[in-house]
Amino acid sequence: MNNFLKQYWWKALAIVLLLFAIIGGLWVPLYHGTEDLSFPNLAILNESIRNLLYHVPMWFAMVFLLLLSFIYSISYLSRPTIEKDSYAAGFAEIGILFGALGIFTGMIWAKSTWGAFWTNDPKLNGAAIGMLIYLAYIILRSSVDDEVKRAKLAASYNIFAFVMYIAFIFVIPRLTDSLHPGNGGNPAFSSYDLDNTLRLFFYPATIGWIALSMWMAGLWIRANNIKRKLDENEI
Amino acid sequence: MKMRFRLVAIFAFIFSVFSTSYAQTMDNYQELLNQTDKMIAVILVLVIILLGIALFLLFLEKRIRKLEDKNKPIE
Repeated sequence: MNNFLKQYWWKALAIVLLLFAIIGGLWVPLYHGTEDLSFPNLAILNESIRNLLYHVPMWFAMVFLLLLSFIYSISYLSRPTIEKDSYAAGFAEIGILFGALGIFTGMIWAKSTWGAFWTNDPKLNGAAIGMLIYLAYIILRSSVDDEVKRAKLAASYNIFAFVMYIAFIFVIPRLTDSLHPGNGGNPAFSSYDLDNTLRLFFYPATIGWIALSMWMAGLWIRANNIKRKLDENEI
Repeated sequence: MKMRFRLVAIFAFIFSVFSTSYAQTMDNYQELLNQTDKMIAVILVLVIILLGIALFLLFLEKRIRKLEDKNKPIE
């Protein structure tokens, strides 16, 4: 992982894909009956359908980073090394940042389409509870001084946190009525929500934002590792 | 009588034409306002994301500065 995080090719790819998604997302017109390349002009959503390329990938990036953190936590418990703990913590911290961005951007989109910043939607409430669970992970880490004890506790808690988060944002919203597509019996990312033009921009946007989140997490983890090594040298 | 009838007919015609075009203008205006409102939401979403990335860079900068201070050779 360390070598991969230091490579440049995927960072260049991230920049290209994000430029394509951001410029394309703002440039392509909505469908008014004559355009060849256009986004669907859906009722209520209208121009805000472009947010699909910005708001939704925040959640994809967050879930991807939290999944990596979860894997590193399991790996730490099976074969403990302090590097694995460092990866688990770094991915979780940047995952939380992307989760917060997902919540704030979602609030703006909700205000323009549903008329309120926050609705009693199971997906919104689940995301908020999930964020609180992960904030507790950060607090737990900062409350233990002993490095090994902290790593063990944090890894165990992280496994619980990830499973709970997935249940809160993917499982429970599907069992009840929800305003979000893909929940309460609505199909998600099907022909109802995505047409081919949106797909053309949505998939690169998702890969681009995930790659950017990995880049940010990589820098964060490398800075943490340097700090840890300097602290060890001091001792 | 005929004259009055003609005048009423002309006024009715002018009023109907103007009221229709006014209503249409209002519809277009509402549509434009609605679309502008939705576009502002898109711009705000992008601004929030950029602010989040800027916040991350600030934290990273702070962290690296601390490391540099720690690693400074003693003069």
